Amino acid sequence: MNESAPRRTPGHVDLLLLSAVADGPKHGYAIARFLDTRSGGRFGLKEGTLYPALRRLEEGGLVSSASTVVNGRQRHVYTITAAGRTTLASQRDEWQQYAAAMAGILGGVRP
Amino acid sequence: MSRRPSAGRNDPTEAYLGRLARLLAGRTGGARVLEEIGDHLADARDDYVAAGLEPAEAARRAVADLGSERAVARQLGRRQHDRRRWRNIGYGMALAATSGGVVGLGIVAGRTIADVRQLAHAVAVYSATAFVGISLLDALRRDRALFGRAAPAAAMSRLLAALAGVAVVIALIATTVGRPALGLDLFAVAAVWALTACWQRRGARWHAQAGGADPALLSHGLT
Repeated sequence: MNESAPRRTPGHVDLLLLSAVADGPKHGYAIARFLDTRSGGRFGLKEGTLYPALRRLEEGGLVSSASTVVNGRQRHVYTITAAGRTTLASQRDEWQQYAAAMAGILGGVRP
Repeated sequence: MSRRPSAGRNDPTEAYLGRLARLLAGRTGGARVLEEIGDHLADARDDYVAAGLEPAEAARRAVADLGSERAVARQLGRRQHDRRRWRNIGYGMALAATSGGVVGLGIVAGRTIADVRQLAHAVAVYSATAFVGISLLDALRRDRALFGRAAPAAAMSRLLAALAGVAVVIALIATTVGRPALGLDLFAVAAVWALTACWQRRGARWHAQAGGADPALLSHGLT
């Protein structure tokens, strides 16, 4: 929704989606809004590609979905599974190690 | 599907959904992705209107946020291509293992080379028959993905597994009463049917998790 945001997407869509549903069950639009709000609109995700990614996670058993009525409308709501939580923890560790390594390098460099 | 954004023939959301439907036509899971994106567009447009935008501008922004419909189709297509490739490799390996097992059994049973060739030929015929069955079951699964009906594929895989069991029993009887050739052939049939049933059960479970789609999507030409 943030038009001034850079249109660059880090290659960690699975991690982002798992984080969003780990926060609580959500339908697709709510996931997009969660990511947009939490990132301050910085990721500039093309929201249409979230849906094929969600289906891939579902096929992999990392999330499950159920057709549920949300605000009076029928929606597919996604919930993280136990396997999804394990994967999320693993990917989060990897990401934090990467971020720490980058911070270690950039922290000692003056522009 | 709960609703569709619509503001006449020039509504960009309708145009987007129409283009996406054409790109996703015939793809497994395409109906549901289209349904979810339709709902997404409706929500986004409502939010933009609530934020004070004109409906036409709200619809344009909602479409822009989604990105290219080709990117969506590409993502879904790549995923399906990967899955189909691995599934076909799995079929091939399972059938090769079955054929090899049957030929090996024939050799262990002391059959002549001519007998073993006959067995291999029989396995090839049964494998081809199984592939016809697989194609039919896939068609039924696609029906379910489109119409949201109970999966007939799950029932058919159970039937196939039961038939495999019956074939094993008859094979044992044939072997016992001195018809080992018939028994071995029936074992081969049973193995191929059982493997097919297993693969179809996996597919049926996936579809059960994924859920059905709204028949109204057919109005977008999704077949």
